[in-house]
Amino acid sequence: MFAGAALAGTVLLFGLVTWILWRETITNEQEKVAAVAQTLGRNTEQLMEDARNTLKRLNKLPAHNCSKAQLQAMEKAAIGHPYIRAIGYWHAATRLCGVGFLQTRALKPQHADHIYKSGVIAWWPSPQTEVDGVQLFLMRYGDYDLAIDPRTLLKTAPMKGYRIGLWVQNLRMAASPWDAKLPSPDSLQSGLTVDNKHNRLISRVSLDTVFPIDIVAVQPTSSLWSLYRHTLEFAVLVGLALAALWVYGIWRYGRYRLSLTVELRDALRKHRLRVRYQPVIDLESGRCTGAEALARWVRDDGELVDQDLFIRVAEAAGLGTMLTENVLSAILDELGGLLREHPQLSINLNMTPQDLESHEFQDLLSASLASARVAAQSIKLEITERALVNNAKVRALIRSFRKLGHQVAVDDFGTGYSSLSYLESFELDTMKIDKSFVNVIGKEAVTSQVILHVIEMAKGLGLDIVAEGAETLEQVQWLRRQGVQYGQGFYFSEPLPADEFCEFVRNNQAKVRPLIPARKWKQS
Amino acid sequence: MINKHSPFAPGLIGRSRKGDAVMSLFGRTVIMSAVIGIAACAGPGQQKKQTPISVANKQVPWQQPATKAQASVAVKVARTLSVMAVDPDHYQVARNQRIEALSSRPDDVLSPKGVGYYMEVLEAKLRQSIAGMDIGAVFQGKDIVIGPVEDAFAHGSVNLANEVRPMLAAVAPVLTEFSKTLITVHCYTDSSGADDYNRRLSKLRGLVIARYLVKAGVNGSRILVVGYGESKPVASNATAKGRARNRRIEIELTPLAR
Repeated sequence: MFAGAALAGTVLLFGLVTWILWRETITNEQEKVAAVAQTLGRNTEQLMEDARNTLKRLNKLPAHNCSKAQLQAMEKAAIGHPYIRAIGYWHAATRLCGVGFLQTRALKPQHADHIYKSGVIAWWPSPQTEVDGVQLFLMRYGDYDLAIDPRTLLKTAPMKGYRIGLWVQNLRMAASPWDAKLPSPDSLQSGLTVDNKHNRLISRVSLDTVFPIDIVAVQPTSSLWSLYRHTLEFAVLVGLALAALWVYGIWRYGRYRLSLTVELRDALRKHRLRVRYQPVIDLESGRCTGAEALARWVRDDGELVDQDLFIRVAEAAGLGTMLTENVLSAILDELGGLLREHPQLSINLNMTPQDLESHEFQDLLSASLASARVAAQSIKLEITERALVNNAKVRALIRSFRKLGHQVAVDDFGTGYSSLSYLESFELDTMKIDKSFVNVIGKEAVTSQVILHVIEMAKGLGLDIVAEGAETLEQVQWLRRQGVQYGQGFYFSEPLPADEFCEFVRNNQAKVRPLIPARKWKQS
Repeated sequence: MINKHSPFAPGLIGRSRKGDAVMSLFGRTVIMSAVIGIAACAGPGQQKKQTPISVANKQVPWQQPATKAQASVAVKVARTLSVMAVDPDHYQVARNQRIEALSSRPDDVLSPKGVGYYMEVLEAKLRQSIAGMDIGAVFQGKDIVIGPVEDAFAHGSVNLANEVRPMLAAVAPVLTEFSKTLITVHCYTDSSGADDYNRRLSKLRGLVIARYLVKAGVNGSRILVVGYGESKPVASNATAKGRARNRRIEIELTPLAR
């Protein structure tokens, strides 16, 4: 079992580290592309705005007759803006003159991509604007046009290992390399997509400040993988360390549990368990009607082992019946006299699920009681709600216990989600309300509703009710108002050693008085 | 003077290209009949205040019963303008005739491949010129339509509204530059007054626009005026606002292409 836990934990740990790193790598990659996209977007916007302003300035030139002065002004503009390949001066559809690398070319694409309200007209790079293998971006305003080389846009961004494309207003503006085959941004989700079919990673980043801009970057999966591998190598070391810690922890815990089992078996064999008795009080009369026997185990080194833990250990190791036997024999040894003297008292004995598996325990119980000359009525058997699951066998056993004269109580009630009809099928005498319900009386409205329901259920089944863990006067008053007959908890007494319990009983018998004066009831 | 055999009579004012004797004669006939038509319209249907129109710096009382002298002034004006003005019934025929006449020289027309660039640049330039004026310039097929310019004339008047002048002034140089187009001025009126009167009024108003453009440098033989009268309202004629919207013009530019 521990080996399984260690393995599962290690695998889980490695999986988690791997996954976190993968996410981290992806996020890094997205951020990198986003940064490139930001730069590109800003550059594109600047370029378009700059080109527009250049065109507006040219239209305001005083001379419009292809004079030397006009040509000089155009030349100046072309040299001042490195992305401009040529400037043309037009009359309608006739290019009168111009400057730049395309002196004699008058590009007249048939369809403009955008005609803006301001009168700016733009032709996106296309075969129609291609000159010597370069598709140019054309912009015309008034009598002038600009031929812009879109490649200059992509040169400014660092693009190691990427194929990257720039879409402006949903039209492809530029790509690197310029003829790269790229998926259109419309067909992509924002962010990083892994295209397993083509073994590549596609990133799409969209910006929309002045006009919509989309960036699509494609890289082979291997490039990301090599990046990921480096971080993974580091992660394996960290993962190994964490796994080692985990296995060590498991090993320590296993050792502890194992040593507990061995020690417990030893303690049970030598009857070294101590038993404490917590009185159960009749809320009406204040009379002590008995006690619950609670096992205490102090290890050799003086450590008090948590009751829940050692009961779990005992049950897991098959020592349940032995534990119950131990407690029973302690009860009979320590309180045999008291019980014979006060037959109305009953001591509650907690049963483990193992006790309910066979008649073995029943035989032992009968024999022990007979030899100690204690009546069956003096030992009340507590069965946890969860132990009632194996119902057919348990039902028969409970019936035979009751035939012998024992009362049967259901313990920790309210934690096992039993239904009324289910409980009805068992022959029970008492219901013990779990202390978790009693603790919150007057604190949380919702849980208080649950306890009311539990009380109603017990009344409906005709059971006596014992409230466990009563700690304050307020709780006791409330319980009594709800018609709960018995209480048990620190308000009355902590669990006591046998002699102190005998003392408690004697005192209680001597001066029986109503627990809460009648006057107080009226006040509350 | 009405030429009963002419397919355009009586609703055509115009002048064909010089040097075409037959057309010239034909055109003159048409012009005369149309002017008489306009002059006659102001008669029984119209009791409104007289609104003079300034054409060639002369005050012409268009809406009075035309005298022979006034009719001849109108003829002169139309001849000077070289503008053709027609009823909607004759629009298609007149349009084809105008395009044919304008396309007679190969240098005057666009190559089929050049049309796209030419018209798109024209549209952009128009938009540039009328930017901020709340008037549209949009493609309708291969043609560009400027307008509609609503409330282009005051009620019953042939005087251009002041708001329209800057628009025409801005557009005219572009129209001059992009000379390989036919300019059709579509003119509409509201429904006050008789049908007949409104049709003449709308043609007259179109002529006023044409006159303005010609003065700004546009070749008048590129202009065709269509007067629809009250036949195509875009708003209710019951309210003053609706009537103002109906008194509107649209300028359509058609590329001259092979």
